[in-house]
Amino acid sequence: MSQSASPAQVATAPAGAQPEFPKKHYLNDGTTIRSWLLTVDHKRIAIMYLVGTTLGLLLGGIFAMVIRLELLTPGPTIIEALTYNRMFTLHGLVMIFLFMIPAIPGVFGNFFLPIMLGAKDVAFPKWNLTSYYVYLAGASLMLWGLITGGADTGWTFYTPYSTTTTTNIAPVMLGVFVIGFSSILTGLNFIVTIHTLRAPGVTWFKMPLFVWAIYGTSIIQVLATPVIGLTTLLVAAEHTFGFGFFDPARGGDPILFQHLFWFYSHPAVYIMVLPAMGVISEAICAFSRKNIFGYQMIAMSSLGIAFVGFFAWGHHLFTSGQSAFDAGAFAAISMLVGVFTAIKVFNWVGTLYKGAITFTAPFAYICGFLFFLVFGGMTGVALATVSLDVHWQDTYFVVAHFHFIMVGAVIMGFLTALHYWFPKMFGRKYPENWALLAAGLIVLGFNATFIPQFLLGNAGMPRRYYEYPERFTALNVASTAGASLLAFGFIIIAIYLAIALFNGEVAGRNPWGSRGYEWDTPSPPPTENFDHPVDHTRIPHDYTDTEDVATVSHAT
Amino acid sequence: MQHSAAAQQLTPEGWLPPPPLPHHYDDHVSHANAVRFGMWLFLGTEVLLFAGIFTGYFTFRAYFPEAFDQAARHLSIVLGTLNTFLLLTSSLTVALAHHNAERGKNRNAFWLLAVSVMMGGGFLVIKGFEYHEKFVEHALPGKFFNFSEITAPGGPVFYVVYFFATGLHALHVIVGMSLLTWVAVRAWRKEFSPTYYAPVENAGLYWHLVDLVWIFLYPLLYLV
Amino acid sequence: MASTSTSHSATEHPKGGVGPLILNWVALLALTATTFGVSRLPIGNLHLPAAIFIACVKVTLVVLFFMHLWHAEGSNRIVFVVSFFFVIVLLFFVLADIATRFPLSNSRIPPMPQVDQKLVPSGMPPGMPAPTGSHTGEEGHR
Repeated sequence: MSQSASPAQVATAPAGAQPEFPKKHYLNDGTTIRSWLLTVDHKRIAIMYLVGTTLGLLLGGIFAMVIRLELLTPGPTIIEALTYNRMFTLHGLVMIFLFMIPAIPGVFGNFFLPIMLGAKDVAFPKWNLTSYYVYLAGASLMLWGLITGGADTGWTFYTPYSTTTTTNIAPVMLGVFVIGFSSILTGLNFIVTIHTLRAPGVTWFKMPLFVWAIYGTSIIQVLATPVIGLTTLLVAAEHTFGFGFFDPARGGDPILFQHLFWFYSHPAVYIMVLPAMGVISEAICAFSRKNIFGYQMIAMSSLGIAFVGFFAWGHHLFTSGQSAFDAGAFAAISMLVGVFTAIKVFNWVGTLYKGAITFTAPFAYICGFLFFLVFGGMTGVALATVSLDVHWQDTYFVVAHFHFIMVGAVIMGFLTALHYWFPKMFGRKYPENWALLAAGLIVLGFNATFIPQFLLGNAGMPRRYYEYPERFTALNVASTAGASLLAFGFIIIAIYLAIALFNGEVAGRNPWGSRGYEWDTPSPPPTENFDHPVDHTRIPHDYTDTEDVATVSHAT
Repeated sequence: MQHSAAAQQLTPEGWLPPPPLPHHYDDHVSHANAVRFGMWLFLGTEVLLFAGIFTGYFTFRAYFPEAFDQAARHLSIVLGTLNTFLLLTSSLTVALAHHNAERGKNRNAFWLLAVSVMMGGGFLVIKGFEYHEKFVEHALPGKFFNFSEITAPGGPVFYVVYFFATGLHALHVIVGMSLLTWVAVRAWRKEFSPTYYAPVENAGLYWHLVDLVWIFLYPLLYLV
Repeated sequence: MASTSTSHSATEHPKGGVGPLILNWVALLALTATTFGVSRLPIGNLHLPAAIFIACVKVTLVVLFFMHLWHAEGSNRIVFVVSFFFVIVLLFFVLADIATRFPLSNSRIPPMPQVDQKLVPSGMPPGMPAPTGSHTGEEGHR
């Protein structure tokens, strides 16, 4: 793909110097299949996660397109009702467990956490590799169960339907259980790494903000995942043996299921969004060439989200029969979590203010992220109002809200990370013009897909419905058109990134001129991560001593 | 961390030299600290795992207090107390094994670990008796329940909680016994020394967790 | 919370010796006997809180002395305390839900007694059919 003189090139290396591709790096250090399959190098494991999660994204996206195509017309369009139920179940399960939860921590966390801390690897490299194979095993089990006629319950597999449905739930439940272990192992590894393998000079409050975000994420992974593990076991056992834990006809309590399920699944959304926020904290400094505004607040708010996010799960149960006391408590706490996110948003905007901005593709995604996070977040606070949720629960309003966060924030964060760190991971630059075009398509497509869904939900269209009244047709068609744009954008990204892997211009050590710690190593990094002792006495993203920087400096 | 015992010579103190340090750690102490911390984190996940079933216990106890009361009376307090004694004592022997391993007294550690494993086995045997009794009485969960002695509503649910909680616990006992056995074998090979005893400590931590869960299960299921 | 320093090094592990461990075990056995004895006393509603209290004491002893958390680094202690804290959060909200569910939504049910609210709801919650299938015939208000 042709390269134009991207703005990034201007701010960096001395004019005329052609960066060299390092001779030995982690990708060519051992070229046998065995050296990849049995690697303990966190960077190679990250690449393997990239392959796995990208496939998950692709699969989940295909199911999404099937759903949207089916919803083009009010009646049956391309599939029948039971298949439709399976489609949205597949879409949810695959997207969440095979992509959203493992992607940013598994790919970018694995790749950059040790480098950002000045360490040579994560704390337990063999467990790291194990976590990847556990992920594959769980994914295979889950997909096999889904394909052999499983799960038409929606990804939330509410009881008593999930325990009495005739579809083959047990392997799907066990698959989720197994994938949970992968999540726990990753989180555990990262926590121990952060506590014990920081290089001398990297104190807690000199760690990059991406590390803080991963730390918060890992805490949630370790504490919340076991509960969903137990819950899936209970559902599988009840489905197979008719135990009656959650079945009212046998004295069980379906609300108990919802409590246990959402005790994990609400913190799970913070597992998805916190790493994306960490990415933004990194990239926003690089592309506005400015120190982060309010480092400590952003760091602490990551922990705040991680903890307070645990107390908010009951907002999924507002209309399920939960007591009013609990509903009120959960409503208040859910709104409180929004405060931490708002702190971050204000700090990011404060970073941009009077910064020297280079408008690259990652920066375009940052803009999308900010816009969608704010609107998605505000609709979240609105949904946390119990009386309003009575109207919106189980409608497309909720669907639009969480897609604003999951796609609008998390996937934008993923794409930011992918483009910002592509040169570091692969030593080559992607074509900026194509990237900007794709970013435009994605942001546009996203708006076109999900804003109609807010309107649909508010007008009363329920979610997970196969058929709908005629009057909702126009908005559904608009949403499907937007989804096609979105899909098109992703395809373009996949193509130019794949080509840039082999044909991209050599990136050199630091094509963005970023002051993050990870840019001190060669691109791609050697297996041991560093080719020279790194100076960690400076804070990450300190732009105060370079010439072409904004003159405003803030207290960190 | 495995190394062939046959290829290594005992040091003058009577134990094998510690295994090679992973390249990304500076010294054995920081590595041992990291491994211990990792184990504590894993124990945290186990605590949360059992939290779910305890939630179920308290929920259904609130709904069906009479049934829980009646069902508890039909559990054998003698066997339950005996099991408690076995687990508490095996916790002691495991702690003593750790104490010996960190002084390099490998043979002592081996025997203490072996006793712990046997006590764990005894626990499982007793549990097996109890389960057998339940099967005979048809005091079973869900749709298999047919136990006339429990007249209040909620009997089947009690047994769901009972079997799931004790079954999950028994599974962890088996895992714990396997870990202790593996560590005992390594103690037999004299692998542990004041520099390197982390496996004993960490297997011990897991076993203590198994004990902790039972400390809660015993009164909740058998006594009240 | 930082532990790159090895100020408390593992090789200087508690040299308290065997004595405290055995003492701990004796204490645990005594507490087991106590909890058994207490369960035989006619204290009605207090059985559950008493049993839980004694169990918590036993757990504390095992954690502090058998698992060496008394001498351990702060990060290990925090892990355990935080895990337990979240268990309590889960239990609290679920049990609060059950305890406050019915009286607030159906005024015909008499208010709950002040003591041990979450343990003794006034009778079987209406609308919950017995597992044997017989309906109590009460109003299903949901």
